[in-house]
Amino acid sequence: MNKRCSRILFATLAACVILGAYPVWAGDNVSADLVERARTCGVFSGTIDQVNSSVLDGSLEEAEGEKLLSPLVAACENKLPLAPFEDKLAEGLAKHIPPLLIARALNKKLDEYKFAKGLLGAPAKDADPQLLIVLGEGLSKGVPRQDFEGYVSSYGDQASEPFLVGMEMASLLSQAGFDYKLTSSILDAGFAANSLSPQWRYFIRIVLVARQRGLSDDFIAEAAKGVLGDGGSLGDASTRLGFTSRDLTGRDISN
Amino acid sequence: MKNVIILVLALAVLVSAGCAKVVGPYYLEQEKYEQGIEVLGDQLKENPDDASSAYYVGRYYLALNKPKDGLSYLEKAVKLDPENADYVFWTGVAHWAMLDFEQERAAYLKTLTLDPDHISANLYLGHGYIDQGEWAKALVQYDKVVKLDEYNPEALYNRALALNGLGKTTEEIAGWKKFLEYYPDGSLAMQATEQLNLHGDFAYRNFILGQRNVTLKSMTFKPGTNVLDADSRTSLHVINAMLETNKKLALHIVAYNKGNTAQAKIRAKSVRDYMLSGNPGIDSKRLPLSWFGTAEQIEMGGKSFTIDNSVQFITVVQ
Repeated sequence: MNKRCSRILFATLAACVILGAYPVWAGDNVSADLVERARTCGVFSGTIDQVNSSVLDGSLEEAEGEKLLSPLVAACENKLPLAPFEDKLAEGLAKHIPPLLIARALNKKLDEYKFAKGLLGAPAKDADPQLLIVLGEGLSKGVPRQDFEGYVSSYGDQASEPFLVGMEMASLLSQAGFDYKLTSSILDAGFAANSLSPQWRYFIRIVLVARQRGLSDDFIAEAAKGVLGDGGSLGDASTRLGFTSRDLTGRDISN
Repeated sequence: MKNVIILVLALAVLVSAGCAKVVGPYYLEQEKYEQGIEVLGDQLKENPDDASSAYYVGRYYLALNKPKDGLSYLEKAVKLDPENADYVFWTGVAHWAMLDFEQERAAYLKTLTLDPDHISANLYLGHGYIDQGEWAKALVQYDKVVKLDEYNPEALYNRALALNGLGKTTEEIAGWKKFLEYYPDGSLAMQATEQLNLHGDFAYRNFILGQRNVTLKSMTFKPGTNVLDADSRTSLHVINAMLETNKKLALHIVAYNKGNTAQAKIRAKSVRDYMLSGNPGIDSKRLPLSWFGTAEQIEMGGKSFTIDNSVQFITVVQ
């Protein structure tokens, strides 16, 4: 290892030691009880500290800080995935969105995630966080609740991985205004042939390119059904529609 | 568990030592994109001039289908290391994902000035030409790819497609057959077969066997005999495997021979005998025979075709 690498390594290890022994934030200004609940439950300490320091430097009122932290505590205590809430809060503060609007968005997100958890019907501790995130984020981006209800009702007994892929596929298609009946017919073909591999979650891109080339959603759905029925790939769907595809992961790329 | 800990520690040491070129591919290969973003994102914050970290973070975002995020990192990588062909190439892929086809093409052209033999840039430049109906330009790119990578499936398939666009039928047919020789299975094979058949060439055919569409080489016999040739036997092995797997599957074996009913019958029987030989698990009742002393008529793509000698497989409806 060269000298530079050694120095960086030493610095990194030293930082770990220092950070490991660093005391928690000393002066909480948001309600101590709320902060304690947040910390005990497992809300990211950086998020708690960010809200606290904003109150401390006067950019947030104490009540505003509590309104921002409350939905995160509620999400945490409901065993919901926290990253989407923490990201939303950080984004709102970074963009200087009025705190009450951020709080409103967080509470709306909380409702959506609670609905998602109820829809999956599993005990909170067993609900797959990935599924909850797909559902919760889909709802917050405008996917109608009945689309997801229909999905869970029709495909709830499928294996977990294709179930997740299909759900993400359905969510993205719905966000682009693709008729759920068409989506459902594509999913039927995919589940029947056991061909819903992870790449299919981004079928939406094919739809967007195909629309740009003037193809109807019905035509696109027919092509997708045919390809899935034959166990084909996303690239095969492009080919069937008459255009080419690209591999975003690089797995199938030579060089 | 011990191995996992050692691997994690080794990665931590490499990352902390600023070795993105070593750890970068790991997260791609393991498809741990979020984790890669976290680790190499931190590395990039510590070393903002590390092109390799920026490149891998861009790749992870792209793999996560977040091309806008990916592009900003990939462009940063290009800015830091403008001579790296891979960095430039991946900005092209990100542009495609954002449906910006002009910028996509520009990126591939730039890549090829840095590395004329960059296979993926040649391939995707060809794809862009295909999508715009620029067949001759596409053909040049695919020929280049096949020269560099003889078995590249996308180049072989789209090369035939470009020849179709150029109306070079004889070369196109040869192109489809070459593709099918290397890649006889799957959805692309089926589409290649359809294209081939539309030119009246039935060397390969798609059959619906049970619930599946399957591409097979057509049944042919050694000249002047009723003995199946090697390629035909290979196709029958595929069908036999399906019969073994799906015990409910039953197939009509239908032979056509224009002007020679007796030979049609013998050939149908020859096919069944081969399928049954050495396969006691397959009952002959699952393979009923039919034969005709006429040519087979095929309707396809609004055209009508006849094949003087052929053997068809049709799923028995239960």
